[in-house]
Amino acid sequence: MNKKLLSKVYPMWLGIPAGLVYTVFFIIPIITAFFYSFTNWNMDQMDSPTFTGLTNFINLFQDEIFLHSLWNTVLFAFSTTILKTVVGLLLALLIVQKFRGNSIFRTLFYLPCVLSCMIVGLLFTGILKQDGLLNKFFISIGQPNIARDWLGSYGTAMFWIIIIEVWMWAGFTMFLFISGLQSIPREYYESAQIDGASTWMQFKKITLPLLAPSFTVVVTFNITGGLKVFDLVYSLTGGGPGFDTQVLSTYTYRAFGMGLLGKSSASAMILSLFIVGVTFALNKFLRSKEVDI
Amino acid sequence: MKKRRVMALLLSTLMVFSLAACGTSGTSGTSGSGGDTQGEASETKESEAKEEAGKTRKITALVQQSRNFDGLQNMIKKLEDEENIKVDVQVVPDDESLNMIKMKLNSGESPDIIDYNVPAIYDIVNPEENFADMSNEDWVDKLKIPDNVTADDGKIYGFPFLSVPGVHGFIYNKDVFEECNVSVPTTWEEFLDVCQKIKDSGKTPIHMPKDTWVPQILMTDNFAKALGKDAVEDFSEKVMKNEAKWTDVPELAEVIDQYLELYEKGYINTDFASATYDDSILAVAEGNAAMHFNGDFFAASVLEANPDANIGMFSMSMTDGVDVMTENMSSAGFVVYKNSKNLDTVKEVLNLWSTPEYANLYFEDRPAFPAMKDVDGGDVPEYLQDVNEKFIDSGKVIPEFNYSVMDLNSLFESTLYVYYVDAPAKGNMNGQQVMEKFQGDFEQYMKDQGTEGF
Amino acid sequence: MTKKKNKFWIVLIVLLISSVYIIPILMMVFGSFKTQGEALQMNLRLPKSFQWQNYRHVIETGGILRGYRNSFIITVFSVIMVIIFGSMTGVIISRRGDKKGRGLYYYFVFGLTATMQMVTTYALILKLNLYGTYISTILVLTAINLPFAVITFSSYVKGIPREIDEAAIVDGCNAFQLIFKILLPIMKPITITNLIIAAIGIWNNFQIPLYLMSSSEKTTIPMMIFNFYGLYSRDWNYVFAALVITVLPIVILYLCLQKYIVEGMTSGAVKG
Repeated sequence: MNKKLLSKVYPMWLGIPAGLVYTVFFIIPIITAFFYSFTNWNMDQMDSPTFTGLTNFINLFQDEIFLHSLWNTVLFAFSTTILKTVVGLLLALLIVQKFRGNSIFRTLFYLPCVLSCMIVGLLFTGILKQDGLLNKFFISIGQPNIARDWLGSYGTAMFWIIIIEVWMWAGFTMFLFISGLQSIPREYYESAQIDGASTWMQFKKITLPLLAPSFTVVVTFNITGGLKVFDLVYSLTGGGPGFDTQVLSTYTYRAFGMGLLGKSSASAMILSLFIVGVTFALNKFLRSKEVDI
Repeated sequence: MKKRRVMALLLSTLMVFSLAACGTSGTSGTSGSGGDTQGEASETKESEAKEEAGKTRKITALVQQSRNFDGLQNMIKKLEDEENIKVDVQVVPDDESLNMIKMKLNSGESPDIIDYNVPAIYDIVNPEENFADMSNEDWVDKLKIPDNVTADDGKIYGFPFLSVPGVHGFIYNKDVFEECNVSVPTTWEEFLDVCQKIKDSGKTPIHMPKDTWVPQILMTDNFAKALGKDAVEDFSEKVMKNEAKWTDVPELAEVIDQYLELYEKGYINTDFASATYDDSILAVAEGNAAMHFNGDFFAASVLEANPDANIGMFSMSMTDGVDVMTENMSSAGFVVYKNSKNLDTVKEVLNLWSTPEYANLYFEDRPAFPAMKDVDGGDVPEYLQDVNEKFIDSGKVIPEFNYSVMDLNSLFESTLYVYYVDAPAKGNMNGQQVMEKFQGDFEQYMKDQGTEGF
Repeated sequence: MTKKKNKFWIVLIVLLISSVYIIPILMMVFGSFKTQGEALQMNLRLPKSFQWQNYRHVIETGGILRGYRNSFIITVFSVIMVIIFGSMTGVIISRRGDKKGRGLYYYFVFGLTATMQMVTTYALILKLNLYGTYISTILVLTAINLPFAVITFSSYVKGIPREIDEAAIVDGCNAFQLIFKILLPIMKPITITNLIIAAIGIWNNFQIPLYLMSSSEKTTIPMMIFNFYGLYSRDWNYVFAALVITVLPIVILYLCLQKYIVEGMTSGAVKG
């Protein structure tokens, strides 16, 4: 298709409504906050912030809690993305098989992400506490040594935050993959079968490459969601014990709670910059793997 | 074809919708009086329209979730039924409330009345600039303790519900005490003995949750008891001007050390870093734990969970010879927005609310100590009777330590209170080190806030 | 391995995974029928007796109908805008494939990465004179949900053969007709996915309506949960009941729509 026709059939102005709403109600407030991150803006003097240069940023990088939350954020984002992608793909491949009741399971796997994080945090606190369901289970099968105070120390608390996030969103990832799987033309598999390709070969040569766009979406969505994680950590551990499971967004919220808006903006900006870097690098890589049908 | 029509319909609805949006913003933009009162302008317009229709007057209020009691709701309902005044209440989660109050006051778009702790709010927000002076209202004469709500400039800006908001102490399960053969201790040494005996009988002596607002109560209580009322005032004044450091007063560190000792000796439940506040309620209600340190409202929650529980309360000081209780200065009350358009209606409402007719409703299902003279607060609950005779009636009640440094509340919550839980969990800090660490946070915070002297 | 045996294993694995999924949800549903003391224990035991009055209490005290109405208004309008605007943008980004399209794509990817700024948004809404209106909340929630919609639509369109577009153009379709008449029906799975995910996010969001609309007349449904969520005591039985009530419409919406996501999916489509 030539350029002129392209602009006629797919004119840029179709993007204006989305672009406008998105720019005015999302981007502008963020840009404003960006400027405020160089000031001592706070709740008690909202109208008169004074310019402080890079002070907020320097203070942040000198704060060991901030650095620790940066590490937690990265750990969380990458491990949940990998797990969600793997589990989500497995679930998708399982669920597209024809067996009785698969729609029930499909619904069930999807259900957790419908719940708000507040309630998920609450439910799992009940499961993971010292006399909670999980420990009772271990005791009942004669393994009391495994039972412990799961949310009471850093390692296990972080582990469970990651697992629960995967629990919540693997079903959603599954759906993204299902819709991707559907767009693969059936004929490809038919001709592959005629050629005598094994199931594994079909998966490797047809399913995986043609799922590449889905991978881009899944990974982008999960990595950005993972880096921004807030609700779950907030409701499950509140960043504790101590500041052990603090992530960047809870750190930002903590500054917001103290009324330190400038510092809170600065912390949010670092988070954003960080995500931008990771996402764009990943996107470039993943999109290069995509093939056009 | 059909689908296309549906789509076209949807699109045109949207167009109209967005046009309407532009329309409203355009008109109210021109009629709005100034840059910062626009939000109100549209709200008043709304209420004016209503007034014409049904002569209903309307005021707006902001209430914290945990204070939205049935009693308050009944008062609001009565107002609507009998006076035709509607109180439009925005209920906000407690976590968000302070930020929202500051934000709304700062942007000049504030509800007419705001619920917060009176007089604590005077220290957080400048009362003179933001709140209407209530000193000359009729209800002021009926206050039992006017000092409680008087600001530094001698004016009254807040309408309180309670005269004694609540006292701190150990809430204990009497049956467990009996079972373990111990009685209420009077000195700290006796107290530790009692704990040991309870521990030896296989029960948890004291239950602590991870919720950071709970363990700190032991400190805010004992800081005040160890220093005494005057020393607290003196210290807090100096520390806020950077003339004193948190590490200057050894009593503070000592109190923390005594608190940490409870953990070292195994008197606290082992899952204190993950147990929830609800677990504490349950532990005392079911007699798995003997005691819990908190405000007296904790006893009420225990009785709600288990109405058959045998619950009492006693005061305990880490410093021997101090025979007072501390009060949590969080009396629910309302302040009035200075530039409220409905000031007359608001004043009328508060006057009505100060009468027994209305105020009695507030205490109907939650007996307490009312702020106004002729109001019936209901019977003092059984668990409070002991401390009521010994302390409250005889005036042996002082404010908790935190009250003197109210504007540090959010800093405390995100630093010091967390250390109180973290120190015993990791065993890496003693009282002195906790205070040193906090001094660092404090200085940074004051600098961030742009406070003079830092 | 025979096909039958294969299927047995699949079902077994699925069943095992399901148990992990169902336990927390059962906890919530059972909890909503318990007494306050029972609910505090947070276990999987069946309620001693079913306390239907929990639901009655929640419905009577929570102003639930008003909450439903408000949440409904906000969710419906935001979701419609997200879908319409998002699909239009997604299609042109993907089909143009030129510099402008890519630029727009990355502009929206940026939105996935940035966190929303509450205070500056609030200030902006005040300046625009939209404070306290449904419109403010709808527009902000739309803006937040647009990046994901744009990106998913544009990636889905890639999988649709261009010949379909070309045939439509030859038939004389204009851009609007092409997108809404031809492409949107083909994109049904991703449209429904977007619809559900946007609806969940908007329905459950409480911070934005909280900060942007102050009147109790406009309270949304998630705020209702907080009615039973005091600082000092939590009536978990009511909280659970309120949660079930809150989640129910979204679950129903999902149940009604999920068949479209997997529509056209036949056993032969994918052989894993």
